[in-house]
Formats: sequence, structure tokens, C-alpha cells
Amino acid sequence: MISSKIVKNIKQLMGDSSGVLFIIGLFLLIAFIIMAIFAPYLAPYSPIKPSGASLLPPQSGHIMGTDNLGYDVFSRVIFGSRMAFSIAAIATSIAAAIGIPLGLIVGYIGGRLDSFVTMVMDSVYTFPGLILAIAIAAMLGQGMINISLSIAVVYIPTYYRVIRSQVATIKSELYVEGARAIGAKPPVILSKYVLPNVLPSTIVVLSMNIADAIMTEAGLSFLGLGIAPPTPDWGYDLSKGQQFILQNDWWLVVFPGLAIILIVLGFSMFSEGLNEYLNPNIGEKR
Amino acid sequence: MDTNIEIKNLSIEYRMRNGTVHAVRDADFSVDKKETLSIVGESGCGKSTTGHAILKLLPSNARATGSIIYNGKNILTMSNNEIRQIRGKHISIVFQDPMTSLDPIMRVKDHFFELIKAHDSKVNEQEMIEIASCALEASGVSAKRLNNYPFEFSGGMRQRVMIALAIALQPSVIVADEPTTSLDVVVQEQIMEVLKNLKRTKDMSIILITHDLGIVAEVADKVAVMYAGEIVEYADIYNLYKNPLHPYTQLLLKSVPNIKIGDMELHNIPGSLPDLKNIPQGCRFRDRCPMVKDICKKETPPIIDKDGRKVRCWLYG
Amino acid sequence: MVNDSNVVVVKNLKKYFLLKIPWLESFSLKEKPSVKAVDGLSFSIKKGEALGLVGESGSGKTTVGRSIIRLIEPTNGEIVINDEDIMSLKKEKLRKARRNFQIIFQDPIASLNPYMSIGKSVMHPLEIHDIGNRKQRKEMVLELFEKVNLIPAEGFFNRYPKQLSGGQRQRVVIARAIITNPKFIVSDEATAMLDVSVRSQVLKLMIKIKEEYNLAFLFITHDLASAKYICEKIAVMYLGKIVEIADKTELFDHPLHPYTRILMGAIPIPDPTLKREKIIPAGEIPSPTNMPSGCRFRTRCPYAKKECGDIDMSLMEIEKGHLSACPFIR
Repeated sequence: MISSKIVKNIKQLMGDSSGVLFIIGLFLLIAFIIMAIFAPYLAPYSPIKPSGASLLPPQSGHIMGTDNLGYDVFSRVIFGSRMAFSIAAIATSIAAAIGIPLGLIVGYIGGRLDSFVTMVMDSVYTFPGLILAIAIAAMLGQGMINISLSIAVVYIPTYYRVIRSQVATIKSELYVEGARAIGAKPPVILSKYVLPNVLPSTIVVLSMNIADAIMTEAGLSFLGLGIAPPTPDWGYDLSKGQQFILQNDWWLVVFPGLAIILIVLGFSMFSEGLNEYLNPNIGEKR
Repeated sequence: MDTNIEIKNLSIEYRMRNGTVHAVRDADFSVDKKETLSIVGESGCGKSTTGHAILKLLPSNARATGSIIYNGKNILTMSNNEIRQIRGKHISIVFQDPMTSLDPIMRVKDHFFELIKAHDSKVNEQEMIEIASCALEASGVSAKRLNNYPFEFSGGMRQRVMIALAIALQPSVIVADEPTTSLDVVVQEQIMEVLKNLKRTKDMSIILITHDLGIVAEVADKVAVMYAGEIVEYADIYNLYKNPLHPYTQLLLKSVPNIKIGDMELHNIPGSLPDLKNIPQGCRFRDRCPMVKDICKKETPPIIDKDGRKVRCWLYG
Repeated sequence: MVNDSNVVVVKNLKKYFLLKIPWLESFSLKEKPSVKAVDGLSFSIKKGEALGLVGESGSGKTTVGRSIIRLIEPTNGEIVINDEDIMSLKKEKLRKARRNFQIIFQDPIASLNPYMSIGKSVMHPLEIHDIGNRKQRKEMVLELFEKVNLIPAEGFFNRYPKQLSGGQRQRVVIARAIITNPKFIVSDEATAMLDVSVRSQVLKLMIKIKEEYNLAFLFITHDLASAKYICEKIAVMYLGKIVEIADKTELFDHPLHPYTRILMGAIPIPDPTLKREKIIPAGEIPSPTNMPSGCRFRTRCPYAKKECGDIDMSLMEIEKGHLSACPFIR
């Protein structure tokens, strides 16, 4: 995943201070969450109505300038966070809701079913994420749910693979055998003995996936496959802004782009810190 | 008799994320030529840490103070280069797990070659094969198996190969760290026989680290009993088994099943090991000791000489 | 208190594991090659009796423990526990029958769910088998905690396995095994990983619960000394077969089979004044994929002769209640 690669590089730069990373990530996330929740109060103007002359550079009143239609860029960046969060949340929930149970059940049953489902999942996984999402989004058309669905399909295999491989090891643990020995039914074994033991790694995957989903969503919108304008969306604004970059109207690109970078970084740092906290024995010594 | 290796005031600490573990405190013992000393204790008592310190094989977060004198030099202050000259040639070690201590992609003879070359680059192949064959035969492995890979050996045979590697360069001290714990009793017996023969024929000192008081009784000459990082009793084998002084030793001996005794009553030691991160004042065994006195809670007992034996207990001071 | 009713009867138990071979080769072979981990075992255990099953690693003793309670499916054989024919039970019936027989594993760390408090772990069998209501269940657990010396019981209830020492964990596992009031317990090397000072505590606890619940006990171990301490009867196993079975005192006083004698001789005795005459056999237990013909022990037996290649290792009653598979030593 892209976000994990980014964090690895940052970590090499900073040495072994994942605690600091975690705090910075958490701080960024909280900032974005506040932004999304209180968008109507924080934004000075409506994001979908012209609020001044077009293509104004950053100035007092329009601290991030305005775009070609006279929309306030700052307000659009703030409202854009809502779209980013909702699509990422819906997409990862769908992916998790399908990928986790599938991985649990298939991993526990094993055998031929396992080989078959894993083969299907692996073939989906080998597709480059964005291209697969583009293909599905092109089929489904625009709209929040459609976009979320096309992103979800990309991430189902991620959950499936993580869960299945963990279940495959955990099911041979003595405590699972012990649960069978006391006469527990397979659903009980799965929910009480297997699931709690795979959950910590799932949570980490979840928060990493949100970062990736936000990027994929931005990518789709950038390519015009995302949200219908004029709904504020960072990816869409970014693609619109790049038409004006030759006129030196840098603010149209820089601010939505910065928002995407910061939120992705925030999630990545947060999930990496979470990983060290929840799975402390992995990668403690290098 | 000549002393081969002498340990004085050895203390070892591990720095962990959440505190310092005092793994070994103030250990004193020495091993003479042709003598087997056994360091015996339960898990977490610091016996393996002590054994590894003798070869300076401690992890990087460990800090050792005191001295380990071998040939007039302190091993703890040696540079990495110096200690590398000692390891394998003068002092060698046999680890617990024979399954993972051999490199799976190297033939048995390659293991020997690597060891020999590390200490003397001028030896030719013929000589090296001779040394290896000799060591293997002494450990009960046919020299014909020099060309075999480790996976072609069973667990017991691998441990014999490990011993052969340890004795190949005729070291004067061998540290055997639980060499038979992962093996079956019959194989354990075979390996112990090998060790006993080595002591007789090759003038070696053996430091045997084990938790099994039965094994100790069969092979050791002297015993150091460790509890929670301290040597609580240090005596020759006959005295220790006949008349154990420290309450811990007494209880430990009573909790070992002995098949020779008809209906033996097994004792146990209530409670568990103190937390080595913050050790209470006074004697480390006091919370589990049936003979605890007031002073045990206030002051740490020193090593007390009692009829030529050493014991760390206020009962004798 | 041993009385005459058998709780466990095992007849001719077999467990063969099929070996993976290249598929091309499988056409040329008439019989698929298999590892005979357990090869025709018969024994019975009475109420309140502990049978020790002793052997080296690779003897198949662990497979026996798991097969007789069908945690792994036996290849063949008859198993009756508490007058119930275990082999014929269908899935759901077997699941319900599990309250009558339990197993204690070797590794107390791995046999408890790290994310379940120990109180819940011990209570879970009650929930599964629908015994009592919520309040009664908790009371039963607390009562049992006291019995296995996890005191204060209330204080232990909400703790997690990693907060306990090895001995305490094994006591939790024992509590979980007996909470449904089973008739039969398998202990698979339950004390092997514990320190000496703790091991005797757990051994004593096992004797206590065995007597209190009048349990039939199968005590699987590599350690004859522990078996001697806890068992009334001992069976010695070698490469999938029982080679000798007898009452404890009889076995220790008059071991018949050469393997039993060797095993006994190999146990280190904590007494330095005792210098024993030793028979140390050559070599190690052969791989079960490549078993010797006839007597399986003959490759290591100091008394082996030519005829040993032809015998079939069936147990013969040499004296009353003392069976051995060696026809030459009586």
C-alpha cells in the first residue's frame, strides 16, 4: 500500500519515534474531523455559490483565493473533507463487511473452498487499485454510493488476505483446539476465539485503508469519474485547478492537494502508531 | 587443583523499555580443571544469562559488571576481537536447541572448517578433516557422516555434532546450556555419557546449566544453586544432596520425584518468583521461605561460609 | 477409590496419517503409504483410576490422547466412554457428549485464549452445554477457583492469561476441564513445561481432583517419575504400540519389556551416591515412516535376536494384570 510505504520512509528519517508520529497523525486527524463536522460554521462562504470575483489570489476575505467560477477555495477545501471522509468511510466499511467475514469463514474451513476463494481474491488484488476502481466506476457511473462501491471492491482482497492468513495460523493454536474440546460450535469458536485474536491487525488495516481510499477517491474525481460538480471535492478541484496552472493561478492546485496530502499522512502515521501499540512484538527490534 | 575459570562479583542487568531487570547479582564461583560445575535453578533464575556471559554472548541491552577471569584476563573487558579468539578455541558453548543451532545449508564438515579456519587459517583440508573426525568420534558420531547435512541427523545426533564442534579445538572450558532439555530421556542419557567421557579423557572443565537435579546428581562435581539471580548455595555434590543448607535447595530437592523411592511425598514451593524489575529489600526467597525471620525482610543476606560451603541465608549468619 | 466399572474402554485404536507422495508415484503403489502413529491400542480405565501412557516423542502418545476424544478422527477402533460409543456419534451428538470428557494440554500459555478473561474461559463450557443460569455459572466458577487454589477467586475472575504465572495458568486450564463434571480427563504432558517447584503443585492438584470427582484419568507423559507419582496403572508405548502395561508397583518392581527397563534406567536420579549399572541403547527412535519389521524395538534392543524380526508384538499376560509384548523376557 502506498501509505505504508510513505510512513516507512518517514520513520527512517525520524528514527524510532513512532510515538511522535502517532501524536502528529492523531492531531491531523482530529483537525480534519473537526473540519468535516463543523464545516458550515468554519467555512466563510457557501462552497457551491460564487462569493466574489473569479480567480482571485489568496487575500483577506479569501485566504485561499477563488476559482474560475468565483467559489471560495477555502470553503471548498473545508467542505471537501466531508466528501473525503464519507466516501472513505462507506468504502472501507463495505470492504471490511465483506472481506473480514469471508476471510474468517474461508480461513477456518480451509481446503478447496480456501484455494478457490483465495485464487479469486488474489486475481483481484493483482490489479492496480486505481485502474480497477476506474473500470468499475466507469461501469457504475457517478455518485457517492457508486464511487464507494468501486473503491470497496479494490480493498476487499486486502481484508480477506490479512484475515485469512491470520485465521489459518490461529486455528491451529491450542486454545482453538481447546474450544473444540469443550464442545463449542464453529460459529462460537470463530466469534469468541478466532475473531478477537485477529481484530487488532484488522483495525490497523482499516485505518490504513481509509487513507488509501481517500487517495483513490481523489484520483477518481480527478479523472472525472467521481462526484458530480459542483459538490465540493478535493480531487475534482485539483483537476479543475490544473487547467489554470499555466496562468500561475497556483492556489487552485496547492490547497486541495495539500489537504489530500495531509489527511493521508495523518491516517498513515496514526495507523502505524496504532500498529506498534496493538502488535508490539512485530518489528520491535531491527 | 588448577583453577580454569573464575567468576567474581558478576552482576548482569537488562535494560528494558519498562525498567531494568536485575538478572544476575553478585555471582561468585570457579571451575577447576577436569571438574564439572553445574548451575542449577528454575526458569528465570539467571542461570543461562550467567553461562552466556562467560563467552560474552549477552544481548546489546545487557550490562555486566564484576569479572570473569580466564588465563589471567578479564573476559568482560575484552574487545570483540579478543573474545572471538577465545570463543570456540578456549571456551565453547553447546546450546539447548540442536534443531536451530546448525546452519541447514552447510554440511557438517563445513561447520568444522569454518570453526577451524577462524582460529588458524594455515591448516590444510586434510588436517581439518582429521580434527573433525576425531571430535565426531569422541562424541559418538561416525566420521563417515562428515558430508551429511544437518537435516539428515536426528535431534540427539545433532546435539552430538554440536558437542563435537564445541570440543574440536580442545577448549579448556565447555559451557553446556540445557544441552538435553529438548531431547528424550534415553537420548539424554546418551549425551550425558558423552559429556562424562569428555571430562575424563580430555582435561576439560564443564559448566553444565540445567534445571534437572537428577542430571546434576549424575554428572556434576560442584553445584551452584541459583534463585532469582543469586547463587543461594554453592557446594560439592555429595554435601548438597545429603545436607542442603539453604531452604530453597531443601524444598527444591524435595519437589523432585525420585523413582527409586517407593511412595514419596512430593513437596512444592508455594508462591512464585519475585519480579526481577523491582526486587524487594532483603532476601529474595523470603516470601516463599518457610523459615523466614525478621532480618530476612530487612537485610539482604551475604554469602556465609559454613563448614567450607557457601550459602546465602540468615539461618547461618 | 478405584472400583470395577470401566469408564473408558478402548479397543484396537488405530490412527494412520496418509503421507503425501508425488501423484505420479501414487499409481504404481497398491497401498497408499501412511504413518502408523497409533497401531492397534487397547486399554481400559476404571472410575477413579489414572492410567499413565509413557513414551518418547514420536511414540504416538499424543495422537492417542487426541484420538480417543475425537479431536482428530481415529482411523479405526472402538472407543467407549461412560457407556457411550464415541466412534458412532454424529457431529452434534459428539459435541454434546464432550462435557463428559476433557483434555488438558501441555502448554498452559497457548491453551488459553489471550483475549478472554480467565473467568470467562472457565465459564464458557457451562454456557456451551447450557448448565445453570448466569448467576449460578459464575458461582460455580468462583467455587472451582477456590478449589484449584486461585485465591481470591473474585480477584482472579477478571484477570487475563498473560497476568498469570505458568502454574496458575495450568490451574485455570484444569478448572476449565472439570467444570462440566466430566467422567474422564486426558492430560497431555500437562506438567512438562512447568518448573519443578510448580510441577509438584499441579501434580498434587490433579490427584486431588481425580479423587474428588472420581475421574478416570489418562496421563500422557514422557516422564516416568511423574507417572509413578500420579498413576495406578502404567502403559509404556513405543512406535505406536503399547509394549508393556501393568500396575504401577508391579511395573517398577518387575519391568519386563527391554524398552521399559531402558526407559527406567535412563531417568536421572537425584542422588549422587547412587552409581547405577546402566544399559544405554544405541540410536534413537526410528522414523514411523520406515518401521522395522517384527518387533519395532529390535533395532535398539540390547537383547535382540534373529527371531525378533518375526514376532507380531501382541501383548501377552505374563502375570495377572501384567502384559508385555516381548515373548522372550518373562
